[in-house]
Amino acid sequence: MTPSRRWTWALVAAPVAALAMISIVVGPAGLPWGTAIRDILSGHDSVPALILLEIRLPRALLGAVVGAALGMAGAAMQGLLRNPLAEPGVLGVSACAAFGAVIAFYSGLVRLFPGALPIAAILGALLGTAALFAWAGRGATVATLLLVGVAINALAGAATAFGLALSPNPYAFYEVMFWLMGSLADRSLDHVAIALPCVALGAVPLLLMRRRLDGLSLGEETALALGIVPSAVARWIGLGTALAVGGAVAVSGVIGFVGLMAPHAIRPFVGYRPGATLIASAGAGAALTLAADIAVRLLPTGRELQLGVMTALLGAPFLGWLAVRRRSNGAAGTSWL
Amino acid sequence: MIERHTIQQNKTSSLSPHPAVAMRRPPSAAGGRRKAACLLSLLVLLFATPVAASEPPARVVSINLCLDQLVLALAAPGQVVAVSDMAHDPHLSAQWQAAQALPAVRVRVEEILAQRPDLVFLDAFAPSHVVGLLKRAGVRLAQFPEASTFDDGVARVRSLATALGRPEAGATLAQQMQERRAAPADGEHRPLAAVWQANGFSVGRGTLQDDLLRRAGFRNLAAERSAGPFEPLPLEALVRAAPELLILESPASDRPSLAEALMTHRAARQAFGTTRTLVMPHSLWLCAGPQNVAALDRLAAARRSLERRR
Amino acid sequence: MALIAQGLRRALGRRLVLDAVDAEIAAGTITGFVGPNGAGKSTLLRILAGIDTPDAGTVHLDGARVQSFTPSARARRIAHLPQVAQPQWPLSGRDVVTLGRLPHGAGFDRLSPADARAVDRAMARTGTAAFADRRLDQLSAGERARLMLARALATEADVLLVDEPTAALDPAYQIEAMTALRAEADRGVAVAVALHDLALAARFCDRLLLLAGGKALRFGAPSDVLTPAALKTAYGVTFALVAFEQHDLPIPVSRPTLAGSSDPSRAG
Repeated sequence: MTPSRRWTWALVAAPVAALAMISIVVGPAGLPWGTAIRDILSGHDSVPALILLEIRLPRALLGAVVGAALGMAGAAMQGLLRNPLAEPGVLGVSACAAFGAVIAFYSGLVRLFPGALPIAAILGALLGTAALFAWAGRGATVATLLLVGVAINALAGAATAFGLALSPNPYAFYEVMFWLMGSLADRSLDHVAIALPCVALGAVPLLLMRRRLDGLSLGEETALALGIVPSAVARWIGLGTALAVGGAVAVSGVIGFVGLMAPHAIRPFVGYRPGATLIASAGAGAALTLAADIAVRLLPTGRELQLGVMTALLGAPFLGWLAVRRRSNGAAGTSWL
Repeated sequence: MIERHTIQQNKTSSLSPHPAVAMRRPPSAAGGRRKAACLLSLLVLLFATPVAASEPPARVVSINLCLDQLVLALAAPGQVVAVSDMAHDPHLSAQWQAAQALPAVRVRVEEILAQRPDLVFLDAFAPSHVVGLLKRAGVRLAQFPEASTFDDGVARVRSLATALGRPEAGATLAQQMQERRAAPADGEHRPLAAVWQANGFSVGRGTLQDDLLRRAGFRNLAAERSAGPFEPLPLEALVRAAPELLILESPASDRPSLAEALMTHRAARQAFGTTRTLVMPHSLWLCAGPQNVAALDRLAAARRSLERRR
Repeated sequence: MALIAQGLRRALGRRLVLDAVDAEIAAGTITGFVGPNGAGKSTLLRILAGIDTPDAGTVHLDGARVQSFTPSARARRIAHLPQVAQPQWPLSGRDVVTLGRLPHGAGFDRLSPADARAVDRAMARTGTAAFADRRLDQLSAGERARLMLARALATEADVLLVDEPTAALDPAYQIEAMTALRAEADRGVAVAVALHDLALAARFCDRLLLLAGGKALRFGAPSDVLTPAALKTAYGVTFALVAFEQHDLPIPVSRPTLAGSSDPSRAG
């Protein structure tokens, strides 16, 4: 299978664009579309224009940006660790980012310097990534990696709850739900302005590592023979993952399992090439996140379901399915699952 | 995330170690529960009345923010020995300065008993196990029904003063409240106002805020949208309804929260600007009492300013 | 042109894996590394390939220190095929071979005509052209091993270092793999190969380095290295030489009874 580049791009872009459109259309009430679009184009400050531009648009944009970040980070981690269960949410990198964001936000640091929120989240994610690589090692078995990831995830989650409990603000304690089971509700263009640059910046090192991730497909020993330095690849991927995941988590909280499901869903379409998976998985992650965010708004739940709850409802059974398939295929030699 | 307005809940129950921990009844069940609670508190009052009618209490402890503020306003010097920790919080309490001299108790039986009270004030939503344990310890209890209108507040002032053995003080304060309260609207234009609280909730029928808005001559958006007392008001719905006045609440703490950060959403800022936004301190209308007069004054001033711009 | 190693020393923890080892891999020849398990063959290959660093000693390629090359320059000139590849994803056969062009700056979606030709040549030489569109997980272990060899050949480096290429292969493929290496040497490539099979070593290698316990016991033509005495020192086993064509192939015949160690009846 040698998919053409153009086809890959269409595969990425078309569903994302379609779902983003649907996301913009879905809202608590109908919108006079003609008026809204006319007013935006003419610069007229009307209520429909305001709703479209400041409420609906940011949510769709964030769905795409956050999903793309998680999808790409998941693909990069799976490629680097050569481990099909690697994912920023499952392995605690996202929770570490949430911890960083919580420290910056609830201490009031964000009021002094708004950039503190993404920076702290990125530092948290960096810490989580470094701890993961250091404790599990890049060549760790699936089980070791998962165990270390579970430990980091639990620790970061508990630290987040603890940090929130230390806040004197009476609402803070309950916001653990947002940070550990993220959401895109009521986000604004301000949040887009926080997340987008971080994710774009993080995508640069990740995309630059595409060939090297391909070279890692046959193991680190072969990669070394091909002139690739795995430790350097790990550093760049760690940095890119931290930037992308930190930027995403800073505005959306932890949205788990997107980075797990997106690469698996897309891999067969790109010939299982790790580098090509990176871009395609960004698209799949964006599409998946947008779809899940549309679903939480359409589901007849009393209150709007947290997006992180929805992705976990989909992703946790998927993780289980992967584990079962892996076990039953163990003897057959399908090492890729 | 959409969360019930936790501080709102605390008005009725401060019976937990943390201010934000409160009964988490779903809005639909609130009405029924409230009726049951009122019945229950009536029973308790019947039980408490003969005791209260004897000699004035010497060591009073109050463990509810709303009662704390009235107790601090009405009690004789030295009569109150402790109030709840929330009464000390300037963000929530109109009497926080008076509270500074007193120890804070949380709703824990041991902390309450350590103050050796001869009378404990608590509200209708006090946890039954706390009530039971205090009774078994032989402490006299005065339990009050919820006060969700300005008039409830006036009545509460009187009955609380009676329980303190100071009915004259209660009568004086009640008189002042009734004199100073804003005049009812003249029936001409009643501008539409929306209260937008932390986590994007609004207050509808059956709340003190709704009552105060009506008294100040406003229509309440949430009361017209739905019947529930505490309902989510999505940002989009708020912007589309385009009320003339957006009422936000002052921060509940020096530290930020996501729940309150929502109030600064660009869409709300652009739709209402500073001229159509009123920031109301929690302490003025969270609880029924004399502080509501100041809340009514602010609402009336906002209404006058809207009228001028029309 | 030659790859020359001098005085290599490498310790892993407290164990000395290589101790003062010299080696020379000349262009146009196959040099075989033989010796018992743990003799240091793989470590020597990795150091020669520049992916492991010796504690002492030097490796030079045409007079330049291999350690001073950039990783990709080094990988362009020295191709290394590790003993075990760990394929994680079911890439297509052609993609696997294409990886050999990575040191030349190629990528899956960035393949020059020269890169494509090199991939074709490598697949033809290893008889793997039929696997081009097959997924890695649909191939047998032997077929995969041949693809890995094709991957190393696709680099078209000056030096080819191969670790146990015949371990997982049927006899037919063993001969095929060694014939492919022979062809590389005949094209002027300097080939070094670690081998367990002494018969294959005797037949296909121009020179042999016999290693045991991290020390180089002998270096030279197969007939000089594979003597029963040297082999007994290295392996602790008595060997007989069987003549085949113009080669003397060593055959292990018995485990010597060491004083006070094992019971010969149980060894049988």
